[in-house]
Amino acid sequence: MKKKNYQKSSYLKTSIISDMAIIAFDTPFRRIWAVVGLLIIAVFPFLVTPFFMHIANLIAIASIGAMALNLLSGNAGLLSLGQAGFLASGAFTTAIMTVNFSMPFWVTIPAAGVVGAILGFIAGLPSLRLKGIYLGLSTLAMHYVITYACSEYQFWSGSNFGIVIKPPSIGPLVLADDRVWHYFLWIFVGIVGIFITNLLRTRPGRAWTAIRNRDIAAEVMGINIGYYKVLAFVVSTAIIGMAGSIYVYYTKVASIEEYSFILTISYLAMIISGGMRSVLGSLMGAFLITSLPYSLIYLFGLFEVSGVLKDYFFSLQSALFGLVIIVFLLVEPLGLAEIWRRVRVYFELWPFRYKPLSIIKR
Amino acid sequence: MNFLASVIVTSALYAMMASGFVVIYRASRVLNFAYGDVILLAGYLASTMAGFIGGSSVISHMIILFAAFLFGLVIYTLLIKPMAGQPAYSTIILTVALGILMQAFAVLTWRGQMKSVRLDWRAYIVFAGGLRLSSTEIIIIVTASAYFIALFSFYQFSKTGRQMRATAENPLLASQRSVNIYFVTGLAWAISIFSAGLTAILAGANYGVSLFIGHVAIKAFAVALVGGLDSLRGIIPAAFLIALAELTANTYVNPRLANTIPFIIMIIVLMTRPWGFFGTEEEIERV
Repeated sequence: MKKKNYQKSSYLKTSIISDMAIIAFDTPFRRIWAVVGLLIIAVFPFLVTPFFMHIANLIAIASIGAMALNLLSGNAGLLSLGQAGFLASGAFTTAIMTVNFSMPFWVTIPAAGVVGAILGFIAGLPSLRLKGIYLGLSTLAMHYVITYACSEYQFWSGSNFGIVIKPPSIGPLVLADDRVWHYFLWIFVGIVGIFITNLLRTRPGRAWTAIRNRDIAAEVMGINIGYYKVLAFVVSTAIIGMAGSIYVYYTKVASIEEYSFILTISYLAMIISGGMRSVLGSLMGAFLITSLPYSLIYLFGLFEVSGVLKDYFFSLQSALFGLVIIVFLLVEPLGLAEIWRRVRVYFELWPFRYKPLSIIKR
Repeated sequence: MNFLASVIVTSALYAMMASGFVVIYRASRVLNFAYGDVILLAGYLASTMAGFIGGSSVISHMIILFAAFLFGLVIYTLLIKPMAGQPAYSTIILTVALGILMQAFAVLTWRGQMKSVRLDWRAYIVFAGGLRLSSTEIIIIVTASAYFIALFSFYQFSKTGRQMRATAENPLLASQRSVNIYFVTGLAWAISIFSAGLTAILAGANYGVSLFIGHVAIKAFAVALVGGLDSLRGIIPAAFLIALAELTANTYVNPRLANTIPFIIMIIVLMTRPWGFFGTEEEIERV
């Protein structure tokens, strides 16, 4: 008798091991699609124009930052308005180390991570006393102090239009081509993504969830609140610092004008539109928010929109960010990841409409 | 002497902006990040309206102030009220989004030009002791004082003001004593946006309206926090302290430090006395 190959339900967990598995590799179906996804990323550089290549790389860099911010503001529930400042700290650590000390990139990127972690530690210290809005304001103040220090450096180094940074190289190999960058960046995204996913399903991640839900209850359960709050800041800002470093290597120029408060807002837009507390959501949000302005450029080019709209492209772009944030906050606070989950559940249960009892909201 | 006068003028503007934050924070425990952009928009509207209507600019300024009051109610009803029950930072991010939307609108309409708001009286007055004030600066000081006296007496003596103070202290108990929370919070938003309109006209007349004004409003956060986010009394000394520090840094060091020093003071206050000069200590949820 022939054995039929039924689709395994993703809700039935028969062992701890299957419950702990990373959801992307859960069922054979998903495993197939994960491989297809990897293949798409692998062949992508040979199929598209340099314009799309550039966007894909920017999305990769943005998703590193968004995943780190989501860890801090989504999972640990600590509002951070200092994202741009931490990115700037990574960027200017790289600038100082490459321009003044001519260090190679495998020193500067970890160094940017260390500087980010130290600044995150300092920014995290108020979280021992403060919550919510007050903490957000202290990270905002941190942003202004960091950007002030960076602008002093940029002013005294005499490069008002930004500090030029050489592309990273090992011996004769120079990382300059966008296609090579693509592999480097997406491997980095993969490492960070798996690192954060693993972190979230081990003790620190569970501790952060507990603190976010109710800090007093978490303390009663024996979680050292202060330690884990500062740890969330340190881990997140270390990754953000490295993302800032990689970003300036990629764009080859570090200028403080880029790291304004609007950058923080665009990262917040990413995690809100993508989905708070979800690694997949961070990736989706980074994709949406980063590609939105470029699809606008593309549309403008298509319809030959001239004059006013093109000149004021940047304000139009920020207006779109604002609109996206407002719509998502009012209509779907859990973001794209939640919409995706609902669509998935609908098709998994089809033709039935009711969810099994053990369904877990991820 | 002139230095002290400019400190007083700056602190009057800061105090009025900070009062907008404090009034909203007291009513709904939300910080309004769209505040700077409301000021920007109101300033541009004021400068355009005055030319549009003609005649005395007082009429157009009155219309702007009335519209600002209504706009506060509209923001509250359309955007803030539906967010009830969501965590506070969602609402804050919503105001951020509203702010960049308004800023984009202002840039698209006025192309980021520098405009100035016209006041009818224009003169320079020299006082004894070499103190020289422009008419605009006198108007700013007088209006700010009048505004604060009106605000304090409204909170202190009127029935609605008492209800607003009750709501600020404990919304749950206040609603059980038949205070209409929605009305009170909506009124707080209206007052706050009204003060934004007033600040826009005064600051626009003194410094001109440009995109830079949004950054000034963020510095007013520092003022509100240093004075205590839930305390109206604390605003005035905090505004004076921050204006003094900023103008001193501007004169003796450089303008980049001057733009940052409010935040440095804010960090110091957050580390040592997070409830501010006159705020209530219980306001900070202890961790």
